[in-house]
Amino acid sequence: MIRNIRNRFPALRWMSVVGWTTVTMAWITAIIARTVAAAPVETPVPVPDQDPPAVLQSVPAAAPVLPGQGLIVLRSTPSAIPEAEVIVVSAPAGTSSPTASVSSGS
Amino acid sequence: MIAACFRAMGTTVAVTTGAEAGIEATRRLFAEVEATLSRFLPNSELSRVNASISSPITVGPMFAEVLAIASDLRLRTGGLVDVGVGADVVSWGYDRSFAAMPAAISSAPTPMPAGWWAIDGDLLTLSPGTAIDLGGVAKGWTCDLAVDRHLALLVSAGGDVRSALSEATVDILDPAGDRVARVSLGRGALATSSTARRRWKAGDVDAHHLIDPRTGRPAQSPVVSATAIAATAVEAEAGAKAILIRGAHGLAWADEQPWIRGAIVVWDDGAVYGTVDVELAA
Repeated sequence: MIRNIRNRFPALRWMSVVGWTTVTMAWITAIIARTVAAAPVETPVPVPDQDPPAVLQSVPAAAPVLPGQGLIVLRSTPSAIPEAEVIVVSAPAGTSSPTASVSSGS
Repeated sequence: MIAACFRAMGTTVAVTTGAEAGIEATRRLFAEVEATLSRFLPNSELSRVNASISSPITVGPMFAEVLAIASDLRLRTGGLVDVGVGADVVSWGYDRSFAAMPAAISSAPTPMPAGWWAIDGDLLTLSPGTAIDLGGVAKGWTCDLAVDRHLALLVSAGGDVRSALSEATVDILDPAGDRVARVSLGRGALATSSTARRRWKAGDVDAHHLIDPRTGRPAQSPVVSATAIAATAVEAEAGAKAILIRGAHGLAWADEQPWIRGAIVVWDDGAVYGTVDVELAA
């Protein structure tokens, strides 16, 4: 069959047909490869150590209910809370401007 | 300005005044209020009222004024700050000044909700068995009185602060004594309430002085310390207690109260949160 086709073209023309056919095939192969690569890959989902819903349920008990206007986190690092009574008072004496500084904590 | 400290109402009172006479006048005011409203002094008017079995009872002008404020604060805090918990506080063992208390009592009492009471002018009506405890009101009210009567520019008493100074700043301390915030208070008041101190054992129960009026038991809360900012110290003190008893919902509740200008809480793991309207100083 190839010989019948080949006989229809002169030698140079035949080489051109083979060359362009090869280039076209390579181009189509490249397009198909790119399309496959762009498709989402389904990766296996890792199994967590803890049950996620249980973690979410523990959040409200450990944090304040958010106020309507928002919340300031003044200290997020946990620290030990020993029992203590601390009342520190200092007020500048003899200052010209009306300022004072005290502490509130019990 | 002149600053001085003295002992009253079982705590240290710090006073800042413009004149030396203000210190003594403030000290006398605290002594006068304590002599009338302390439940630890057997001859105080409060002790006589709590010992009385008749109802209604006619009370003096100071007693009536404080009870009228307490009645209003009970309403504003949804019943969480109620001076009718006197019998509960005593049943849990807090029947004398804290310094004189033993570290433990043998057993926890049967909890009961706060008793019913009402004030109409100078007429106090109490349900049978109800006792009044003004410990959560009287201190803040006296701070307010000292400033409103121009005896002092700033008074700080056991966590309650009332200021008439435009540039007053207050350091908020956690129960460990570490500063968690510096607040620009200015003219106004601020109070901190905590369950990390004044604790004792009642049987196998960890008891503290802050009784939840709904249950008659020491409040169970993840908040170990709550600070409220308000116009007056008595409001701030009530606000701080209500925030602490409300626990996880305390800040959200405070945010909705027009009379609370801001709030800060210390969580039992040491984390610290505040409402956005707290004015922090540099």
